[in-house]
Order: sequence, then C-alpha cells, then structure tokens
Amino acid sequence: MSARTLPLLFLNLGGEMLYILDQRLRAQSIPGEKARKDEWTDVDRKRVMNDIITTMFNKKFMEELFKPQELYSKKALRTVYDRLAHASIMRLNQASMDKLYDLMTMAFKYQVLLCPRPKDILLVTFNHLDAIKDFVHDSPGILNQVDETFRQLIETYSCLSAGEFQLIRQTLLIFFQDMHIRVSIFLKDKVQNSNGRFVLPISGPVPWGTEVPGLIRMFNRNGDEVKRTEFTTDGNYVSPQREGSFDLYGDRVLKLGTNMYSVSRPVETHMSGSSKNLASHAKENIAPNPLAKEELNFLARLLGGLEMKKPGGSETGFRLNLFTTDEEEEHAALTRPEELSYKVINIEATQEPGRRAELSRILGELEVAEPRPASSGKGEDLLALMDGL
Amino acid sequence: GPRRMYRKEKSIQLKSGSAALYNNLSVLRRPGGQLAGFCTVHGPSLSLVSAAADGLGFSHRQLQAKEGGMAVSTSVLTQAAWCVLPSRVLLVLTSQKGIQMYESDGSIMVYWHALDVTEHPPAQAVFARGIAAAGGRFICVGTSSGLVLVFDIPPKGTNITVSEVLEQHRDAITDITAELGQAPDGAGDLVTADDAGTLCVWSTGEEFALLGKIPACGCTCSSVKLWNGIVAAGYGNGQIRLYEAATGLLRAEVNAHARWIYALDVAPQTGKLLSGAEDSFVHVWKLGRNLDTDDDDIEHCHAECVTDTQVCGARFCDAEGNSFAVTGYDVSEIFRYSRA
Repeated sequence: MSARTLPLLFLNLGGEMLYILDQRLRAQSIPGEKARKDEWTDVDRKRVMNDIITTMFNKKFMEELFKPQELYSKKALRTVYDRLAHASIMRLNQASMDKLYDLMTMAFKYQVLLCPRPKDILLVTFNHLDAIKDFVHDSPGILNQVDETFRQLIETYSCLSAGEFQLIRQTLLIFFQDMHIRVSIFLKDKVQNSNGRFVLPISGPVPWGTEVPGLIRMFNRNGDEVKRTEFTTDGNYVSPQREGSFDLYGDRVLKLGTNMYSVSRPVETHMSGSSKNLASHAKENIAPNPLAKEELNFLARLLGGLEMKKPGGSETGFRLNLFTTDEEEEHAALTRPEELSYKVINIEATQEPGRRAELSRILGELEVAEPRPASSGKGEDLLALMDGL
Repeated sequence: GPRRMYRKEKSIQLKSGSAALYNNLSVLRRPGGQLAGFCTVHGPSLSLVSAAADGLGFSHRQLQAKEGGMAVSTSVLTQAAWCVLPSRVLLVLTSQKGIQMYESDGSIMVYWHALDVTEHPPAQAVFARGIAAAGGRFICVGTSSGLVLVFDIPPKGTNITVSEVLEQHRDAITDITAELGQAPDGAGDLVTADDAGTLCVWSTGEEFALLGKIPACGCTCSSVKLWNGIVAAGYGNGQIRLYEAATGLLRAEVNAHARWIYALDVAPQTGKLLSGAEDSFVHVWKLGRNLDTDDDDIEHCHAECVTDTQVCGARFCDAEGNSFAVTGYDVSEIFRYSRA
C-alpha cells in the first residue's frame, strides 16, 4: 500500500542479516596466525562484511530502492538477499540461506510489531545503520556510502506524518503476515511463545506522545473541566523518559534493531509442525511471471553493482553453515515444510528475452570458482568449537 | 481491580489471520436482532463467516479483491463492512483498486467502482477506506486522497450511481459513521474522519451539506462513531474524545489506551461504547448525558486484555451491547465475549 516501504524493509532485513553473519563468522573464526588455509579468520570475516555492506549501499542501487514503489513479492526479495549474501567469498547452501532468511524476517517482524509508535520504525532503521557503520568503521569509503544512505533516509522520512508511518507499518505487517517460525533466542528470552506468536507486554513506558491510560476528563460547554474520574486495568504503564534521536548521530533510546546476537547466543530456529494457517502462504503470487519488470530492474542494478569476485591465487569460496553440523544442514533441507519453501527465483528462467540476455551477461561476468568439496570446507573442521550451541 | 462485566466465550476459528488495518471487523445482525455474520480482511481476501439461521454453527467463505486493469500485482483489501439500508443489505469491500459491492451473503457482486489513479499524486498510496450507510439511501466510501464518494443505492438491482463527491478532507479518509441513535436538531447525521485527525460533520440528502469541521490536534483519528449527536473519536495516541456534533465542542477526553486505537463501536440501544487498540486491550464504556447539567458523560465499564494480540477490529454483536467480538493482527480466530 504505502509506496515508501521498500527502503525500510530492505535496510532493516539487511541489517539483521549482517548481525547473524557476523555472529556466525565470529563463532567460527580462528586467530589469523593459527589458522589453516581453509579456516575462517578475522581478516576473512571483515572482508565478507565489507563486501556485503559495499554491495548493499551501492549508490545506483540505493537510487533505485528509494523510488516510490510497491513492495516486491516475498520471492523476489528473497532472491535479492541470496545475491547479497553471496557478494563475497562466502557461500551458503540452500538450507543455511533459508534459515538465515527465516531469522532475518522474524527479527524484523518482531521489531515492527513492538514499535511503540509507527514513527519508531525509523529509529529501528537507524539502530541497524549505526551498527553497520560500526562494522565498517575503519573503511572510510564504505562508511561514506552508509552515511549517504542515512542522509537520504532522513530526507525522505523526517517529514512524514504519524498516519503515513502507520500506513508503512501496516504495509510491513501485511508482508509479514502468517509467519510464525519459532526462533530459539526469542523463545529463551520469552519474547515469543511456543506457538510462534510474539509476547506483547502490557507494562513499561507508553510511546512518546501518549498518556498513561486511566484518566477521564469531562468539560462543560465553556471548555472548563467539570469532572475527573479514573479507571484501572491489569496494565502497568509509566511515562517515557525521553524521545530517541532522529539525527545522523544520537541516542536512539529504543533498543529494537540493536544487535541481539553475540558469540555465546545461538541462531536456532524450529521447523516442527506449528501453525495450521500456513495454507495461505501457498496462495502467493498468482501472476504468470513472478518477476515484474520493475523487480528485474532492481535486481539488475544490484547485480550490476557487484564487483567481479574472481578469487586469485589460493583463495576459494568458503562455505558458511548456519547449522551446527553438515548433517543437520542437509536434514533441514530435506525436511523443510513445503509451505515454507521460498521458491527462490532462477533468474535465467525468466521469460522476457531482452531482460534475460542482460541479466545473463551480468551473471556471466560474476563467475566464481566452485567452492571446495565439503570434506575440506571451513564448516566441518570447526564443529568442535560450535559445541553446545 | 478491573470489573468483570463480560466473560470470554468460544472463539470462531478462521482460515487466516486478520490484517493490521483499522476497523477490521464487521458484524451483521438480522432484522430480529440475531447474529447473521462476521467478516474480516486478510491481504487480498475477505473471510466471511455466516451464522446458520438456527443459531447453531457457522459457514465460511472467502471473497477476493478484484484485480483491476493490470493483473500484475494482487490488490490488498483495506476494509469490509455490511451496509444496512431500509430495503437491502450490501457487503462493501474497499481495496487499492476500488470498491466492490456484494449482496449481503457475498454470493453476487452487484457493483464495481475503480479508483481513478490519475487523481492521486504519483508517489502517494492509492486505496479506498471508510465505509458507511447513510441517510437511508446512500453508501459513503472514502479514498486515500481525502475524497468521500456518495453512492446512491436503488432498493434493488445493480443501477448504483455516484451521486456526489465530498471534497473537504486533505488527508486519507480513515473512517466514516452515520448517526446510530437519534440525532438532536441540527446535529447532522454523518461524520467523516481522516489521517490528520480532522472530523467533518454532514447532513445527508439529495445534496450533502457540511455542518462543521472539528480540527485535528496532531493525531490520526482511526475510528469514529456518532450516537445521539455525540461524536466518539479514537486516536493514534490512544485517546478517545467525545465531541458535540452540533457545535464541535469537546466534551470529554479519555486516556483510554497505551497504543494506537484501531476500532470503536456503539451499541445504539444503550449507548455503550467499545474500543480496541494495538495495546491488546478492549474497553467497554458507557456514554450518557447528565440531564441536570447537560454535560456529556463517559464511564468505564470493563477492561479486557486479549493476550499477545494487537486488536484490529471490535464490534458489539447486539444492539444493547451485551456481547462483542474482537479480531487481532495475524490471529486466525474471532474472539467473543458476553455479559457475565
């Protein structure tokens, strides 16, 4: 509905993706001097993060993103993140990519749902961007790109009314409807119930601009207050202390959108038979061509922004596993419920000949060597270090 | 502690969860007063629940938003409501593409009105929202550009026409209400509300007349009801305000909810007021007038916490307000409550 939703969706999901990848890479990394050739190091991690962030904040891509437009389908958006996750030397199998996307979307859904005011979605976005800037704090070129986007966000969204922000929020909630994947870290923190629904607290500070519920005031025709009564509920609300900052720098106050992962907290999901309402998932997207022309433009720009990542010398693509073992990853791929399949679009299968030629050409320029077979991949040898997660 | 005037009854299960949109529940009563049906929107489709005439059991059906010209993207429904006129009942659906009107059981579409996209500035969202039967003869529907379309509805058949377009709002229409009780003289019988919080009071007829405007106070008015000349308005900052329709004067202000209000309803026989919001709470209030002082009164009757649910629809199921129903975002059931 709102034509200004896509930048917020893209940047926040991208931010969550970076939190998860960063945590996973840290968990699997070995100090540089001790690492073998096929093991993740800090240097590798920084390179992956820098490559992805550079691609995300590509200038032409951002221009396309900020144009007023409808949200893309779930499938098209998922394809974008597939490409983004592979913007560097890192490789993810389908199952790990599915899991990554599940975590990203449930996290942002949670943040949107719990925002005190619709306008606070902007603060959530700023929290993500603040963290992204921290990831690249020693690369001034990339830092600049992120700041540019920050400024564009401020310019585009600062003047929107509360009603327009609520429409953006409603548009996002329609996008996230029916997703009830259970996330371990949410279950442990008791922010999600075992049925997949998020916990909505009825205590704490009210949103900025709202009064604590309870007071009824009545006025006569002259405008004088003539009666005052109070009512009580089970809720336990207090006044908020201060408003978060909407400037380039500042205390956002709101914690939603900050990094909730750390090396010791796992990124798990549970697939087992939850909601009976997954049927509606399958009713998505009845148009014959799943990629509309605008979406192809969008993806083409993203791909066009990628540098050639041809590995030189002894470098190869390294696989990152979001699961604890390769067996677990394989099992997840085989047992993923049909209705939760993302059905990632194969771009080369698109029907529009002109577009197809263009994209094939771009894709051709991005050929990278196949990753090493799993037996000597980085994932396997580090299993012992993942113990207990 | 909170008074327990109502208790929870068995829910009606739905095939899909409700969308987080204002006023996302409509309830139809038969002429005799018995419950006839519920409906709530979910993305491109509407869940329609019909009560069997014997009062036992419900049947379900889904209606889809009409695609419109270019069938590339599916349209999202913004709202659905039954409009009860003296001679017929129509089920009205509003979407990003236009307005669909069906016979009350959803079996046949009798009218389709496509929104004129060129009327809207390029970067703005386009949709219809806000539905009410008015003046015993009209159905009024709002648009995202602030227009209110007045449809003239014949007693039967499909010869529905646009009789007037009201152009007083500059922001997207959120809700429209007709007078649900008895209007005092000069009080008007229709109120329209918008995203900025502006309320317009009208008298309906061959030509609608604007009687007054209640200016916004910096907050969206998402839901509005008119009863016995009292305008009850629900706002994004969680407040309910009561205004006199005839004069536009503020008579009461309630810090009712901790989050954005999504739905209000009135029980016309008793003046009970129902409010539902994102904070998970549904409250029942009592509107009244102190005959000595001539002051409008509002009193809190009942608080209901619908656990872990952002309420998006709330309606009384009978004219006295002895029972009500609630929908929530992403929740595939209709919660029901009745007097204990």
